[in-house]
Amino acid sequence: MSRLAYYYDSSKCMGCRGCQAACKEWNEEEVENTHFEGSYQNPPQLSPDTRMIIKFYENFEKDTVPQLNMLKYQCFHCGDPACVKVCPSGCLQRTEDGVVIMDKDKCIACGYCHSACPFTIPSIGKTVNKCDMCFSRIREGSESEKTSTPACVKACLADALSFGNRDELVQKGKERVTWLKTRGYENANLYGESILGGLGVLSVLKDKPTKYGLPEEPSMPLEITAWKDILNPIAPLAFVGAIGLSAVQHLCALKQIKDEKKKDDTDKDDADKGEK
Amino acid sequence: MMKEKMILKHEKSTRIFHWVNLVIFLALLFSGLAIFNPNFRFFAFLFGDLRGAAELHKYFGIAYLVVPFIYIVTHFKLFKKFIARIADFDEDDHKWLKISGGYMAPLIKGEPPEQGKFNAGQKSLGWIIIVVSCILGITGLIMMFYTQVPPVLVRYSYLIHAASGLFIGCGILVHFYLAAIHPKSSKECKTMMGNGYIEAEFAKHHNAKWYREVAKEDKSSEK
Amino acid sequence: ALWQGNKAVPAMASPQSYRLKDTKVAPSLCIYCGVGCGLLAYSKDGKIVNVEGDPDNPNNEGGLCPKGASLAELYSSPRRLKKILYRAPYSDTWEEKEWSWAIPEIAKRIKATRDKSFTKTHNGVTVNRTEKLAQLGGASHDTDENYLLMKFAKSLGIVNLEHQARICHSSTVGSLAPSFGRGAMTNSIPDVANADVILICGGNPAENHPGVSRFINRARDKGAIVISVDPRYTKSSVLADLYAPIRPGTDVVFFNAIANYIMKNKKYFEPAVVNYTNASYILKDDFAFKEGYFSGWDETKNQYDFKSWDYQIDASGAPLRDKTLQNPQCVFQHMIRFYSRYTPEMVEKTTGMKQDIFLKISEVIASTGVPDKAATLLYAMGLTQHTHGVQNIRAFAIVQLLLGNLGIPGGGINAMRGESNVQGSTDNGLLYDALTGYLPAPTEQKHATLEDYLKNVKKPNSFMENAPNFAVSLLKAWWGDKAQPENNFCYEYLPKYSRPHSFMDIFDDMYAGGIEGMMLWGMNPVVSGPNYNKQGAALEKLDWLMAADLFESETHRFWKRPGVDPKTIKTEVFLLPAAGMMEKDGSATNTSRWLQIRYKSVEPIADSKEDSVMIHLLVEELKRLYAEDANAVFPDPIRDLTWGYGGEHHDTERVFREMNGWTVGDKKQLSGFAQLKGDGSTASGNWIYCGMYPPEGNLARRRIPEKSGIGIHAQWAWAWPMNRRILYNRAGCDLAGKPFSDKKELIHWDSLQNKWTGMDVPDFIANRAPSAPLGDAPFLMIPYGLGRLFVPTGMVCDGPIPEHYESYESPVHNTFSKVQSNPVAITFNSVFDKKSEVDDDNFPYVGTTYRLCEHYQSGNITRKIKVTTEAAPEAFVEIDPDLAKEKGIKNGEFVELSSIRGTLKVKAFVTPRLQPYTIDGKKVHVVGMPWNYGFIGIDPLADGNLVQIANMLTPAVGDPNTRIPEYKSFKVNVRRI
Ligand SMILES: Nc1nc2c(c(=O)[nH]1)N[C@H]1C(S)=C(S)[C@@H](COP(=O)(O)OP(=O)(O)OC[C@H]3O[C@@H](n4cnc5c(=O)[nH]c(N)nc54)[C@H](O)[C@@H]3O)O[C@H]1N2
Ligand SMILES: Nc1nc2c(c(=O)[nH]1)N[C@H]1C(S)=C(S)[C@@H](COP(=O)(O)OP(=O)(O)OC[C@H]3O[C@@H](n4cnc5c(=O)[nH]c(N)nc54)[C@H](O)[C@@H]3O)O[C@H]1N2
Ligand code: HEM
Ligand code: HEM
Ligand code: SF4
Ligand code: SF4
Ligand code: SF4
Ligand code: SF4
Ligand code: SF4
Ligand SMILES: [Mo]
Repeated sequence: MSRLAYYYDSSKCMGCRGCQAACKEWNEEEVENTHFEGSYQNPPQLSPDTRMIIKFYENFEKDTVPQLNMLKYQCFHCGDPACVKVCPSGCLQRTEDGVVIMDKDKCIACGYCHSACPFTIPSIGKTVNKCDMCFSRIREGSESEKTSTPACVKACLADALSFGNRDELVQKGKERVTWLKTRGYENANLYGESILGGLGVLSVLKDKPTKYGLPEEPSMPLEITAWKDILNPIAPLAFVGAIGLSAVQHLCALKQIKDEKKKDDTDKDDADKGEK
Repeated sequence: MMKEKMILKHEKSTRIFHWVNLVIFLALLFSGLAIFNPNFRFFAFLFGDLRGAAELHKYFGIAYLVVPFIYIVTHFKLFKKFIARIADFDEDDHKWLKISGGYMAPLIKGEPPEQGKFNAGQKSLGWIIIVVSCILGITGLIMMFYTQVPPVLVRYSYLIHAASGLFIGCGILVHFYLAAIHPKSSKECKTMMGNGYIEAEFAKHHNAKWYREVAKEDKSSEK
Repeated sequence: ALWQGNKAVPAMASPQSYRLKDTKVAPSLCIYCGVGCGLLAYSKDGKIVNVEGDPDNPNNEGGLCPKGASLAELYSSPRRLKKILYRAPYSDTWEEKEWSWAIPEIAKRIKATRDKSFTKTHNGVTVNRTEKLAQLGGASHDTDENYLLMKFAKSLGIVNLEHQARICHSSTVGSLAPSFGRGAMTNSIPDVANADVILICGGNPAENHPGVSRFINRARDKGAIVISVDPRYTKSSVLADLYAPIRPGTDVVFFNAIANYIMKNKKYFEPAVVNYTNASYILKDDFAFKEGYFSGWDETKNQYDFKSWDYQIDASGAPLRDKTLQNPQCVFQHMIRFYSRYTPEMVEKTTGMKQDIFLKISEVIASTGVPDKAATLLYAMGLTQHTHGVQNIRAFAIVQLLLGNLGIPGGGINAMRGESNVQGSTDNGLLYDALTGYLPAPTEQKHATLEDYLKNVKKPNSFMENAPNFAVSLLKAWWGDKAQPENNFCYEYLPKYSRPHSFMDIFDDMYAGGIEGMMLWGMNPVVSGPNYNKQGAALEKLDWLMAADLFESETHRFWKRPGVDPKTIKTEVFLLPAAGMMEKDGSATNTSRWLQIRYKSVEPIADSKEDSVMIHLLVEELKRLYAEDANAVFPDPIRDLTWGYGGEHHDTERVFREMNGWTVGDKKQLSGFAQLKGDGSTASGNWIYCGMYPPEGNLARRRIPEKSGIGIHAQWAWAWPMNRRILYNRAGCDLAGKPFSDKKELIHWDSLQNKWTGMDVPDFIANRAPSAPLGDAPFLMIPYGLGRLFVPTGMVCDGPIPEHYESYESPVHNTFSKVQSNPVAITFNSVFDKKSEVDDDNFPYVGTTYRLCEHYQSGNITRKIKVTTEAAPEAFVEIDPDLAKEKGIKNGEFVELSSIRGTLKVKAFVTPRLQPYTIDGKKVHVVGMPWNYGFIGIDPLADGNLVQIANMLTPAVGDPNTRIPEYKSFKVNVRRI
């Protein structure tokens, strides 16, 4: 089945935060008590009440024009999602068409997904919160009113966001990167083409990922693989082992008792004999 | 039938502590396992549902740290003595371990050497429980306050906590077997889980060194 | 399963339920900025449950900025006004009231104030006006409501009539109208995608017109170069290929230097310059420019005599021309001499922009002086709000005329109008000096009689030859059968003014005690007007204030603003709760001049009413009061006013039909303003809207976006005039009527059909052949039809071509002449009107003000909406890191920001997006503050005692042409606290 994805082009984004507002409104999230803290960015980070924010990075190197880099920051819908791997409750799941969805009713608020995610995206309050690619919209929304695209994608007035078949968006992203290079953005790149099984949110960046606070080459953490792919499957075996050990001991003990009884009996017999 | 001579093996406080700890531990084990592995998901019913298991695991986890702490503070002498006993690991203990205390006969043969109040297996278990509980406690707390800790540390904690839990769970299973089901264990079981007394005859046999100790004390007290 | 790997679950239904199940949907329009985004309002059980973009609307294609995206909260906000609030004199609280009480009470006060202060004649002229009543506002209202507000105010004789356009884009009208003939944005928002070069200067579309950015990006995709010039590196700069900083208030230097570059390097588009501009006109011999003044400067009167600012004419009255452009007295030669002073060196010295980047920008812009390329300017307040606002825009209008960038796709001057309907409110007058459709309001001095008036507005050799038809049809629409040739069509009913009553004049007057009562329709002048302290003090002098709004604002609560004692303030306040946009049918004219329609979704909440209904109730009550009162003063205009729009069941269609107009005899809808007559046989409330409601129906309701093509969208809604989407499109064709470039074709002359045709409606007389008289003169609103490089006769009163003057307050001496600032700038003399002179070191920095995307204007709505407040919770002052270091100011901490007029405590935003300027060898710091904050709202610093109003700092001084306040450049100081 072909994968769905959405696409974010930082070179078209104007940081208006229409997407951020649309996301909040659509998902009926509470607002936070924010303050001005020396940046446009607000709320300052993702939270149980905020599943997506625009991040702002400001820069100025002597004798160049200032830089203002924006990043749309939310769950990236990994092709190989660590969060799904660790989620014990079945709350987080990856659909065949590549959406990492959540069923909040199932969430046990353990926080595994938060720490396992290479971007520490999911936020846990009473239950988990993270971008679900507006799953209810893309499943049930109306084509003609475009409520079948994620709320944020629809809201973007700058053409910086689009939604659809992932392969096509990868192609589009690559072309955009080439275009940006001709416009002088030497470090332009498409973030998410192949990392973590290929992200379901493809981001065209004008500069290196680190300028957007993103890890260059994130991967599934080794300890997560060890924990979930090795330790977990052997857990029942361990108990089987322990029970087995006990059983062996039990058999031994029974044998010993039998032997002892025999010995006792023979002792007794001997004694009896002696008495006789 | 003639009444056997009984001696006190486990103080009342110890026994209560053991019971309390037992309950907490099992709650932790069952809830932890329910979370950890889908094959143990059925344990969640004990706590309502998985969410209850997760919630309670945290509370029991805290209790699991707090209860021993209180016990140690209030019964420091007993605790010191216990530590001293299980720390005292002599040649006999090594020998005992080599032949698995004779439990595995006839698979592993040999005559078990004389033992103290705790045999070498019990001593080891004591250590395992202390050390692994500490690990579980530390990693558990990290997992609980995961937002305050670098995610790498949290992730390693998951691995270690689960591995430790699994290990100690299996350990306790064996402990339980030896203490409660093993055909020869019923006496010890009654001691720890019951009134604390054990037949002198049995002790003489199984805890020879300790028996002599107690006997000596007995005599001196008779004076 | 034993193995809990990372397997995907098969396609499944969503665990969350879909929110829009079983909802009803109605198209609506955003209430905020002039982009005019379409909305879909989803309702369920009579409640709004969701609002999102209308995917069919070509302005937004489904998109919405954060303000639009949170509009569902407009309906649900707990802060919405639900009851009528009344504040008694000297009271410190509101009381709740009923409509049945409020309307009669307000009407009584209107009548009393009017009758008491009514002037029937003045200096022997019938003026029929009241100077003690004032009405403000309109840009937040629907186009149909604006028309009603206009009728209402004029029938009462109100001359203190103003709305947002004055303090917003008046400079646009004041510069584009003299340059091209009309004061509107020339092209359209979707058309920006057709540009080859986009200069964003004096506007910040990413924050303020986010909908435009899609088309900026599209143009760029197609190869356009985008240039951003702003004192700060803004969110719009992010979309640009070239960025250059500019010191506030120096745009004339920048633009003039581009013009100079173009002329010097012969990059202009010669056919257009020669044939379509007045470059070839010969000026009077005594026209000159010397030492900062144009000829005719009268030092004693401090004003110009405009006699020398004119063309030499031939016997027929037509200007003399030299099409070779060689005559030293021709406009072009004058310009070459005048502009030669605007060199790259002077640009760097004055604006702070480095020469190399200036030259790069000039080169890019000049590259469009060819047939198949177009440059456009996107601007708004960065250019308008200056004591030389009109000249700022004039300066670039000249560049565009030189490059031949008018009348073609992707060209023009795109004045991004501010509010959702400031275009509609401007179209309907609502200014002291205007009637509907840009007809001037009659003055005591020039328009004593209808005859005087008609003679004055009639402009021979231009389309305004027909102006008398428009004016008489207007009078017929307003006073119906009463308006007859015998009584000059009730011309006397119109008030005549004799002195300026602009926004600032009204408040100056008010502070001096000249105004008794005011009606405030959706404005918040305590936050939005210049010089906060003066605004507040002026309101205290009112006897009564009526306001209609959705939310309580700083103005409504001016009597309890921080630092004042309500017990000392007499003003009575009536605050009427207005229905929100989804609670009524309505309309708005966006910046592209498109009249769009919105549909009601739900009933008005609680006790709120539609503004239109409030107007109906007031008019009906006043009609009753005047009918009852035998001693009423001049009741005629009110008594005779035509009024029938459904009352409580306001019917927008009826208003539109009247605006469009009909034949009086059979009430047949007219199909266009060419059918209007000056003999009383036609009626039309607003001639530029004539054609929107022909017999076949309301064309504004059309909803067919263009699928392919260049984005004309001729079938989407309706644009004035006559659905022409790109103004002056005749200018895109050569003299013979053939497009200069196939790539930029909009219309052409079809000699077989003998008419102009094309994908756009020709902005020309459809059957006027290129060879016919004036057939080659594309700017049909201007006599003789040529674009004005040089504006004659003082139509622009501070210079026929733009000269650089420093702002009223500036820490820098004028590098161009000894004339420091605009010699004819408007100033006031109240105790609040203080000035910090050039060398006053107490206020060494340049201050400017601007907006944030999340907040709209005074923030009276957006600071009550949770999502926008969360994203932009508090005001701040942006400071460059250099200055911060010098002053020991840390990012995010409170600082003291002051001007000579007031002091604020506000948080510092130390940002590298601002860098210090080097001006004439001196380091100059620019600091800026958004003006979207106040003291009432759900934002964390509101409802306390901390005033966060940027206008605490700004001076009440203005452009001499339009009296717009200078919000964009003044002197300030910043201190650590
Ligand atoms: N989000 C939002 N959108 C709005 C509004 C709003 O309040 N909020 N208001 C609406 C209204 S009514 C209007 S009029 C428009 C206004 O739209 P804009 O004109 O875009 O608004 P501003 O932010 O006031 O000013 C724009 C830019 O001018 C720059 N500037 C300041 N001084 C100068 C100068 O001297 N020269 C130049 N070249 N630039 C200068 C500022 O740094 C700022 O970036 O926006 C409309 N849209
Ligand atoms: N320092 C500084 N000051 C400025 C500017 C600047 O750039 N810098 N810009 C200026 C500009 S461009 C402008 S346009 C002005 C704007 O100045 P204002 O128009 O005074 O400001 P708004 O906040 O738009 O006020 C509109 C009011 O109308 C109300 N309203 C909205 N919709 C409706 C409706 O349907 N019915 C009714 N009855 N009320 C409604 C809102 O709640 C709000 O209270 O400010 C000017 N002030
Ligand atoms: C000592 C205090 C302990 C604390 C603070 C603690 C804490 C935690 C926490 C926070 C979790 C994550 C689950 C959740 O948040 O719902 C967890 C999981 C778990 N705990 Fe503990 N725990 C403790 C002791 C134990 C003990 C004694 C055992 C074993 C018997 C145990 C076994 C487990 C297991 C198996 C899991 C599931 C791990 C996984 O899914 O990988 N825990 N514990
Ligand atoms: C599951 C049921 C359990 C039973 C039936 C049981 C029974 C016993 C018995 C009979 C003894 C006494 C041995 C002696 O007399 O020397 C004992 C000792 C002990 N038990 Fe348990 N126990 C159980 C669970 C636990 C648990 C969950 C823990 C700790 C987490 C624990 C920790 C200990 C320790 C530390 C000792 C003393 C040292 C030792 O004998 O190894 N027990 N237990
Ligand atoms: S980004 Fe994080 S939360 Fe999203 S799918 Fe990947 S691992 Fe899961
Ligand atoms: S917090 Fe919820 S979603 Fe995250 S891993 Fe735990 S159960 Fe799954
Ligand atoms: S896809 Fe939906 S949930 Fe995800 S960021 Fe966009 S709006 Fe928010
Ligand atoms: S809506 Fe589009 S332009 Fe605005 S912040 Fe989001 S991605 Fe950027
Ligand atoms: S404020 Fe302007 S850009 Fe934003 S949604 Fe409304 S009309 Fe569109
Ligand atoms: Mo405006």
